[in-house]
Amino acid sequence: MMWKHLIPVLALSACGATSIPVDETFTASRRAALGNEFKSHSTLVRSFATGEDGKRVEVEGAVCSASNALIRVKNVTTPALVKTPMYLQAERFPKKGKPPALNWRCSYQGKVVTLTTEAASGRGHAVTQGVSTYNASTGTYSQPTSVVLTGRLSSTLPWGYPNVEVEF
Amino acid sequence: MKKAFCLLALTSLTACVEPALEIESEPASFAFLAGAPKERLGDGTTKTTIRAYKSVQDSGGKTVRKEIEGAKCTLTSDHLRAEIVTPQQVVLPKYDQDPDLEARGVPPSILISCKAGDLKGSTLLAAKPGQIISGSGNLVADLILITGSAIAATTADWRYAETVAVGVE
Repeated sequence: MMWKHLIPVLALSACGATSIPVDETFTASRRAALGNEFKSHSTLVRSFATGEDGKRVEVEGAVCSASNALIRVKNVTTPALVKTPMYLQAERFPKKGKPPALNWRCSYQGKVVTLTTEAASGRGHAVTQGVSTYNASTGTYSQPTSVVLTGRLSSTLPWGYPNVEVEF
Repeated sequence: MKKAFCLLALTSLTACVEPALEIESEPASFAFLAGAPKERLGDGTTKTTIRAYKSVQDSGGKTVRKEIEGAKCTLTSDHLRAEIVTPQQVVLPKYDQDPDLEARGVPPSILISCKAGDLKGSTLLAAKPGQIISGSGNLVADLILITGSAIAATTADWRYAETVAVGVE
C-alpha cells in the first residue's frame, strides 16, 4: 500500500513537475434535475502534497467524494476525470440557471480535506458553432477570419463545475 | 444520382462522402418574444442552416455520421423561438454591439433541440461578432477588412453562425 504512494513521489521528483496521467473516468450520478441540463463535461480532480523536501508534488490515490442537491460523485481515486452535467445559462431560468455549489471531501493517508466549488461558465470548454469553434478560455475562434473577443461570451455559455486541486 | 456522386468521389478522393441533403423548404422565420429587447436588434438578419446527423457503422465497421432528413428541431433563447425540419434554414436576427451593456450586449445563446423518431440531440448556438460588410461585393477586400481590423470585432454586430450540425442519438 505504501509503495503505491511512494512510487509516484519518486517518479515526480525525478522528472520535475509533470502531471500524473489520468486513466480513470467516472460519471457523477444524478440525484435531481434542475431542468436546464445540457450535455456534460469532464472535471479533473488532482491531489497534491508537500514532500519531505518542502516541495509541492502531485500525489495519486486520494479518495474523493462530492455532492450537492443535484449530483453525487462517490469515491473516485485521484487523479480522476469526473463527468459532470453542464447547465444552460439564460435569463429564463431562476438564478440564470446556475446550479448549486459542489461540496468535495477528499482523504489521503488519514488526512481529510473538504472544499467547495462554484459552477462557472465560459472557461475551458469550447462551444462549437458550425464550422468555427469558440474557445472560451482564450476567447478566440478557430476560423481563418478569427477575431479575439474583447467582450466576453461567458454570460451566454453553459455552467459547469471547474477542475479541482486538493492540497494535503 | 447518389451513386454517381459516390463513384465520382471514389475516383477523385478514394473516399465516399455522401453529399449534403438538398434544402427544399423555404427558410423558417423566428418569433421575437414580447418582452425581449427589440431595441437591441441590428439591421437585417442572417440565415443559419441546420442539419441533423446520426452516427452509423459503415460497411468497414467505422463510425460515420449520416445526415437525417425530417428531424424536428426547436430553437429557444431568452428572446426568440423558431421551429425547423432538417435540413432547413432559419432566419435569425443580428444584434448591435453596445459597449454600455454587459459583455457588449452579446445576445443569448440559442438552444437547438432536435428529435427524429427515437433519436434526440441538442446543440448550443452562441452568437459571435459579425464581420464588417463593406458593401463592395469584393470578397477579397472584405476579407482584408475583416482580418486586418481588430476594431471590426468591437463595432460589428453580433450574429449567429451560418451552419449548425446537430448530432442525435
